[in-house]
Amino acid sequence: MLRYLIRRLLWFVPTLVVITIVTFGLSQRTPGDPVAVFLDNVGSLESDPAAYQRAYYEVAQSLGLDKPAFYFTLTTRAYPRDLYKEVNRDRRTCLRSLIAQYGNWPQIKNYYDGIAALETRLSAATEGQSATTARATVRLLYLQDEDPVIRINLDTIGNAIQADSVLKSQVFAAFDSLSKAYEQVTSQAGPAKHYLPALYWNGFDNQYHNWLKKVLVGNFGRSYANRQPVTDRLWVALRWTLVINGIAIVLAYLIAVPLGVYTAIHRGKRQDSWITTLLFMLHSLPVFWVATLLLIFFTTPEYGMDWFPTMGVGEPSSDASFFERLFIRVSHLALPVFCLTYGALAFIARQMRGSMTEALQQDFVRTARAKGLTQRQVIWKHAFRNALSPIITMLGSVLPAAIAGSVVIEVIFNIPGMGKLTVDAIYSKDWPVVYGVLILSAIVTMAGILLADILYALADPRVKLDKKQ
Amino acid sequence: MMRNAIYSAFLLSLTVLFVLGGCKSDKKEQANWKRKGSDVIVRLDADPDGLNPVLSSTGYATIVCNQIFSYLLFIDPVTLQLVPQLAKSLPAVEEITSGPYAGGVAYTFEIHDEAVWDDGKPVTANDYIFTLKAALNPLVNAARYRSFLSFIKDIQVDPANPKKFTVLTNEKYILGEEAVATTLPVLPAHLYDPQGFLSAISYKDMADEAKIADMAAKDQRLKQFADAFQSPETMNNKARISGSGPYRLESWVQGQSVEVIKKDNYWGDKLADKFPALAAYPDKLVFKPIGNAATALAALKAEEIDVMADIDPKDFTDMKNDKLINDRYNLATPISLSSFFIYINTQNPKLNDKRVRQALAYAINVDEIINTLYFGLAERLSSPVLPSKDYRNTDLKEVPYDPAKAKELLKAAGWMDSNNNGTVDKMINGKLTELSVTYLISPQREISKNIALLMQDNARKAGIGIEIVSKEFPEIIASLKKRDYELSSGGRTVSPTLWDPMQSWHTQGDNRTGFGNASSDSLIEQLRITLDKTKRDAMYKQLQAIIYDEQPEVYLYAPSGRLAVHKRFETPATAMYPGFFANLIKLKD
Repeated sequence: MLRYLIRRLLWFVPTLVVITIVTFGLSQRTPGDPVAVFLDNVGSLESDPAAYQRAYYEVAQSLGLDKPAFYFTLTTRAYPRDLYKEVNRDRRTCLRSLIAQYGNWPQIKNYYDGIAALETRLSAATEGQSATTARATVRLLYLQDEDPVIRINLDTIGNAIQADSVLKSQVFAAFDSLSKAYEQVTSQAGPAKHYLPALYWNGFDNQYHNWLKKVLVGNFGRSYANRQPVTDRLWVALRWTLVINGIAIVLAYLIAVPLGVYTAIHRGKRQDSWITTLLFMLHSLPVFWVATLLLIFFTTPEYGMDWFPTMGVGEPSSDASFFERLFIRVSHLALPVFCLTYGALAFIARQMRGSMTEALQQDFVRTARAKGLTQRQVIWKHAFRNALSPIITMLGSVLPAAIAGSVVIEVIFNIPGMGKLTVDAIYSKDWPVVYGVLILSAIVTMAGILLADILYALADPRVKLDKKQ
Repeated sequence: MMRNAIYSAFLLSLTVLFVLGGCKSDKKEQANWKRKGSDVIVRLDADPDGLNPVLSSTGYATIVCNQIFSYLLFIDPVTLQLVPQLAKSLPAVEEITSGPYAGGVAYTFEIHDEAVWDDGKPVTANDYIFTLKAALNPLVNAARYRSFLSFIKDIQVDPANPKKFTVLTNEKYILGEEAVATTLPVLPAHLYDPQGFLSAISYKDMADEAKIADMAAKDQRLKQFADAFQSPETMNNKARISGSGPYRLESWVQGQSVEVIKKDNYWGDKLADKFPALAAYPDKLVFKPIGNAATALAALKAEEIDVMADIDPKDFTDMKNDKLINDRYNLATPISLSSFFIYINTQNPKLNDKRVRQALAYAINVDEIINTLYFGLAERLSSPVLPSKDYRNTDLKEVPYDPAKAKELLKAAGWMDSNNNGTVDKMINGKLTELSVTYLISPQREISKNIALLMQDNARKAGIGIEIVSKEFPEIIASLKKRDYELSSGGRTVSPTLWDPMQSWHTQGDNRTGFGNASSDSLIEQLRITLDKTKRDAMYKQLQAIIYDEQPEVYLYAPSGRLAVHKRFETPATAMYPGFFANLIKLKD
């Protein structure tokens, strides 16, 4: 048993590493720019592209986004190894897209440098109608990756320059080399390089490594949203989720297990069909709908049934007595706990009924009856213990769910738990919090499965965890 | 003198005074109320992202911070004029004619003698200087403010009076006074920088971008300050959050509530009669973050919140006819400072003729959108300037819905339905092109989809095909930035005071439509430094006329604010976000 435990715990390590890599990889592919989260509401900043670029680099650097993402880059020969050095996510996306289309990085680099060269030339050029148009257009090229759109812009710039002889003398050379550079990009496309793999080693100073180093010592970093340590935010949210889900799970099991046993014993009778119908109905009621109905009917005076508080977990004053506190908490948590309980209850009861029915038909039950044991002894000592395994399996999956929280219930009843935290964090691109939630859920899921295995062994002596024993 | 020139005429169109709870409610009504007393519970959409005004960036944080901290000047809720808060009066404004900042403007402020921090120490010029220095430190995550502050080159304190100082800027700017006095509230230097890391660095050095960037790399003090200042404590810890405003932070339970309590001997109480921006009525304010609109509405009906802004238009219309709500809440629809419109890519070959863009404006039935989707709770727009502004060009009429006129304009531009498929077409570069354009909307807002469907239906009657494309918001922004789109939904908040068109309309700004040329650019550049109201208004009107003619954006509507306040209170409804000032919510006698 101990050896089995150790082996399972060791397996946690590679599993967790894979999970961290997948999580990290996904975050790299999500649309939206974490730097922009810090720079929004920056009205006037955007009117000054140079200032914006500067601010952008400052923020990107402070977030460590100027480092390569991972230990190595597996890509095709078409991509350069240091593409990450273009910190600006929009520009990097554009470069990637151009490379994907044409596969000739030297030419693309040449073209991209040409944009910068022309921009510099234009900013020093004599003011005028044409210079204005050209300047406004040239910086769009940094972001554009579609051939027709790029050509329209090159034409616009070209026409503007042609129309102004002074401007032409100042910048035509730069424009000419830019448009030639673009012609080279399109004409000398090298898609063949896309078929040759490339592997670049980036060293240990990469985003993933820096993040993992901290995670290993329990430091998930700070939330982008309010700079609080992620662990603090997780802990606050976890408390409420555990309370609500814990009560709901215990209640569900307490009601469902006897109910399942009862219906199994009275299988086929009227009690069974009534209860079964009721359970099916409960099971099929969508929880968001029930929660909303409860909210509308039982928390406002609109229908004369203002019996429960609408939302939150209650805020007892600091001098409230134990019973006052209890009352406030219970009244707040009653509806969410009900919503979490009824669905689970129906499901567990059905499972229990099924496995109990099966157990009751086994030979050993008949033997037990034949021995003259009482009905109670037959059911609880012999049949029940054998019917437990599906219920235990469910417990293994219920635990992680209890930690992850129920998004719908927490949002509707405004409970600051894990589900709500996760959704809010995803919407606000608060990646450190999302990583924290995922890692925590991963650990708990694995622990839940392990726990279920151990419980199997306890419930059923025939289950041997350690093969060698 | 100049100040008068800028501010004397703000009032004109804003004299409509919305005061909630004007009439007294009868006793029978009151008997049904669950909530009594002067404590106010306010709904927020989400938790504040910390309560450090320099670091926090959401509007929710600002709503709470404004109770704890105060600014040199604030905005009057009704007139939307700048009014003194920490300062004794609006600043003395003087043009600088000589010296290194010639061509700039000097603003002289004096802070109230009574103004003190919670420990009794006076609020001084040094605190103001410290606040700006904190934001200018390149290692502090406050890049968003730096460009507002970059024109402040030096601050001189009166040697005889530590509460009096002059802010020197190196350029004229119509929003200069606002930028100087309202960008950030004043923080206590001795509490936010107890070790005095920044005190030995002069403001002048901080404002010198090259110098400070160089220093940030070499000088440890900037780093030490940034680390201490950005520690979670200054954003979340009650003991470390302290300002000169009327309230102190009592508790903050993340995701549940933020409570602020009125200070026992708040220095502003004595002055509130003369300085309305210092007034603070409720003894306690509770801010509750409630994300889900249905939950918030239920909480309102159950009287678990007193004030709720930004109510869904449909819900708001239902609430008007709901006796339960009407017995307990006053509803108000103040003007709001936001406008909605359609971005047009003026460089797109299908849309580069202004007649096509004008036709599009005629092909959209904006009144129908307002009436069926906003239930009448919005005003039409004809230009980027809201109807309530006195610098709006009133000669520009809202474009009516007129498909026939739209067809006429399209025909003049060479678009006709040659193949009789219902959509007009034209030969472009030797190819027959249908006038069918994509319109980007964000799936997060249900209403934008319905608006798009109405538009699609309207435009078809004029022979314009609209294909609705739903994209996540960040992707829409990316498309707009690289101008790789045809039409897109758009919205922006507008300044309560003057309009600085630099950002959206200058060719070098964050100009998403491709509008503008050298002459419109120079008009904009002139405009933003013209402090003379008459001259500036003429320029405003000229710019609006150009935009109206070019139609790079089709202007739709400005939704009204939708606000509910419990009947035991009265408070001015304001155009300022979120529609009310929490400190001005006053119990009725």
